[in-house]
Amino acid sequence: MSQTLTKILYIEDDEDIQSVAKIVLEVVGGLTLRSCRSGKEALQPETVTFAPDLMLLDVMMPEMDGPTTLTKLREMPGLKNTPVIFMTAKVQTSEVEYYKSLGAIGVIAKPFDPMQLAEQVRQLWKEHQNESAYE
Amino acid sequence: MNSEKKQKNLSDAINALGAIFLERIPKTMDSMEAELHAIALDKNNQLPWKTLHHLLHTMAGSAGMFNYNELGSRARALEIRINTILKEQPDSVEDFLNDHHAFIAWARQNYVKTN
Repeated sequence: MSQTLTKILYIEDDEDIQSVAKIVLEVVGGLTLRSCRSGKEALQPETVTFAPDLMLLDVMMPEMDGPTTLTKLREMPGLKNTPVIFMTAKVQTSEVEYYKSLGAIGVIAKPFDPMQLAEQVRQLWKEHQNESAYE
Repeated sequence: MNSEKKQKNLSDAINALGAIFLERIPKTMDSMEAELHAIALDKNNQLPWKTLHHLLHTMAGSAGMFNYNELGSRARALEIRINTILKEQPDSVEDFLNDHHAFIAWARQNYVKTN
């Protein structure tokens, strides 16, 4: 049975990008976000309480990058199998394959088109749901 | 609220954020110049390189998102050159410093309002 996407854990250190993404995902996408400016903030207990359906992670962040943050998030209750999408400027094929090898259901290139972001996220979610249905 | 009005409101909100981004460019350029100065004093000090890298990375992402594409692509090019330098692959530090100063001058000329 497919799951509805309603809550996203969003981790992005850049204030401008986070502000825009929040507006488009919440207003256009109708989604509920827990927005964090760092991996450290995302690893707080509030994330477990929030129980996201999906995690949207920037790759390049100071102190703790996206992949490292994901490894630690996976150790938190309820997050072991939560789908993740990475956002990065590095979207060459080999790099996309690397992020997918970490378990990402997709990669969104930066800079992104704000007017398309919600649709991109929903499309990747839909593809993931369809693949999961056949497993 | 109909879909068209919603899109307009969204577009206005993003444009407003873009205007704030533009207003911060002078300060960002000041920060970059400070790091370039630190690098010129000690090219082997990793900290200003990393700080500058982060400033360029942030600028590239935000500029592109707000459709200031040339600003974003120039910042990205300089960011990539720092990656090369930090990996100790050949790239003249002096050339990089000169090119970065030129980028700052260009950005100030093209993206900073003068009264």
